[in-house]
Amino acid sequence: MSARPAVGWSGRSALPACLGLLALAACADEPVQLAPRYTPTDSLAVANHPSPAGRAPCRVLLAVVQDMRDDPQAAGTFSERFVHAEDAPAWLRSGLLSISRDTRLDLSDQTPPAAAELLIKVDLLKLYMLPINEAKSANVVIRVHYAGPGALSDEQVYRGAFTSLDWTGAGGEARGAFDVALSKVLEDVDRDLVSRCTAIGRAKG
Amino acid sequence: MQIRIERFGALLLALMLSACATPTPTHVALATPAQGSIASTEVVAPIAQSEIYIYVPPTTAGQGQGLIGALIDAGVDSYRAGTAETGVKPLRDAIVDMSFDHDLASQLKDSLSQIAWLHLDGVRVIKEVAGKKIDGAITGSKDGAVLIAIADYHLSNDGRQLFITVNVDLYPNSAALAAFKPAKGRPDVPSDPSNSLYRNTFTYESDLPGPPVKREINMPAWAADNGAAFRAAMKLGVAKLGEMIAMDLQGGPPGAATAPAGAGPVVQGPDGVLAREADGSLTFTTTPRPS
Repeated sequence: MSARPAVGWSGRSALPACLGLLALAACADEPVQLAPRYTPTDSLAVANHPSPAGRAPCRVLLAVVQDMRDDPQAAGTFSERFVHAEDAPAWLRSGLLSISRDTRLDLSDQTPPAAAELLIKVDLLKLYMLPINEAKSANVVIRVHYAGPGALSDEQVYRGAFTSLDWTGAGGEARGAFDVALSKVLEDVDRDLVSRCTAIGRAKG
Repeated sequence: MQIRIERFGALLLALMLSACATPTPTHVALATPAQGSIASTEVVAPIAQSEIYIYVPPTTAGQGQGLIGALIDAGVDSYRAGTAETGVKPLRDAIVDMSFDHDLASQLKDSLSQIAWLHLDGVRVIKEVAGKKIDGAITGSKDGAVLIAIADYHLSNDGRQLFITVNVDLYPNSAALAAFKPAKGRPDVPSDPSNSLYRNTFTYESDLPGPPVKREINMPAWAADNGAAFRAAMKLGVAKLGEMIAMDLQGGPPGAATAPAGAGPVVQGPDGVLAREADGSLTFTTTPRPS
């Protein structure tokens, strides 16, 4: 006995289903676009820090966000659709600026360089979605150059990744995965900024 | 009865079609006279990935168990994908400065520019690997021939083996090469394998030394010392693949013409063994270094 679907298909019910499938097939060729702005996720710890008592927030200038990828458009595939990320620098910049929700930091791209205690330049090294069977893995890698008066000039590479089941194949799911991956990068950058600002504060006495 | 006749007809048609659809061989040698008709060649290397990955075989345990089985498989897939991605992270961090795309493009330029009749014009990498994109790369090229080299590099599920694979196809893109187009080619799909003037698959394999061990032991071995073992294996692999492709395009290694297919080692060198497989593809396997 052959295994057949329990639910039969009548001509009437099959038509809208076919139209739906055709519509989906048409959508399937459309690339998934990265969101133009980062949407903070609940896992981002920076929003939960207490305000500094009697101490002004550390002024950090986000000087530059550069896209170092060879192909500024391609960002892997998701559910057999290409992911496009031309807006990645703007998305990353909005994510970095969201670190200013940490009340210990005043991170801005408008701070005058002379007024900044710390200056950061950020390179976007990698941004891609990797399909692994029924799962997806979003990856973000950035390099941060730290500089500033009284601060040690150096650089640090940060990586954020998020692997989970490919649930719907919808663009929003992919964009959400990239946001979660970036939130992990931002947590690490936030921790290092606070650490460096604390060291600068100690040096100042 | 009418249904039975229709079914029989459909079955017969399917059988006839399957008999007609002869798969394109893995290895198609370039006809020597075609060499003289190649005015210029562009090399396009589609490389989908951005970093090394661990191959995770798909889960099939739930097959035949309906929706519940499919959901269980998907959950297991996701878990395995997560552990593989976590496992490869230290290696990715250690080699974040490496660019396989640049290294392969540079090697292909060096190796293929030595073939005078190819008249190499340039090498470029594209990141989106799909039939239509490759079709566009062929028809949009200003060169008379386009060599498509689709590359992939990954580690085995246990992390012990590094594989780099390059699938090469040389497509005609000029009137001068029209005479050499395969008779059974598909003109509507420029990148269809049946249109290739030349094609082959090249594989490089490098294993970590010592007995097989778990991923948790293999991955630190690749990543140690700023990824030294991985960097060395990749450097050798890219160089060997460049050599192999150039050699095979020109008719294969010395003695290959007389060696029967699948005869085993073609060239045994200090770095490893080059073998032509039964389907004509070439595989280079490194000699394991003492641990």
